Amino acid sequence: MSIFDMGDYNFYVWSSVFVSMLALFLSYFDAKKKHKDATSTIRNMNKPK
Amino acid sequence: MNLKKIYKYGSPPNFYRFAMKLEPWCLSLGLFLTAIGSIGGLFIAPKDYQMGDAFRIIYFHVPSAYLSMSAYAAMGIASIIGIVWRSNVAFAVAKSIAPFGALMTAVALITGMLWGKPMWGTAWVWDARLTSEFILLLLYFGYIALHATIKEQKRADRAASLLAILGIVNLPIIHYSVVWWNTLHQASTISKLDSPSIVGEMLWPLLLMIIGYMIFFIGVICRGGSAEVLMREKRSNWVKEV
Repeated sequence: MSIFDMGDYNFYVWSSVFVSMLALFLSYFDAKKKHKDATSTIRNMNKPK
Repeated sequence: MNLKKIYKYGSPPNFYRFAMKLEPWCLSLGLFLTAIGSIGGLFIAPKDYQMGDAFRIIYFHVPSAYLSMSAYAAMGIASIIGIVWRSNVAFAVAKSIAPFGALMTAVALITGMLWGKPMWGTAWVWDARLTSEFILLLLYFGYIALHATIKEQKRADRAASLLAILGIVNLPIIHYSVVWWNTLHQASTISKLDSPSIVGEMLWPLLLMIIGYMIFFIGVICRGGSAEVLMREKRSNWVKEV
């Protein structure tokens, strides 16, 4: 039997794992995108005209 | 602790430099602990004798539920600091916590439903624990919406902070809901530190997951908070050097 097999609860357990990991990565990439947007806004503001 | 050192990090450039240095350490340590905790919880911890493998959902449900409350407490404290000391950094940190906290609350509710369906026979009941956690999600949404609707930054900060501070009252209600009322949700498992209702082989991955999530959260807030500080200070001279 595979160690990944959670018997009758396969769907529930792996869905929880998927949702949790997705949330962690989304939150990090969202913060990273906000930072990137902020730095590019500032760079554009400070461009010599 | 020297108060001057704390005040030092209230200045936007100091906070920015400190947060950007701290972020990679927190993210790597947080992810490392979460990975070890996940492996321990999914593959090493023994099956529960009643719930079987379904109990493994707690390794994802409990850390997100803890984090949803801790993030709100952090947002409330940052809001108090912001209002009392008029600290722009504290307001920026509070604002950057809100979307992450809302996401973690949603994860806690979804993983709770995924646990409830096979164990209770229903994904949702309006019991005290579930309802108060749902109110927490609404408080996060309220904070985000209030911030988005008020155009003037300072007014938006103050109004949203007041909501965050008022909402702190919900935290002890969530925590003690299983004690004060008869709930379908089980009582505390690990907060009774002297005698946790969980065996050591099952407990260590859970503790690793909780600590891992918390450290990861600090890393994300370092990045999100610094982005918010940059946007607020975009006309300052120090920002041009970044």
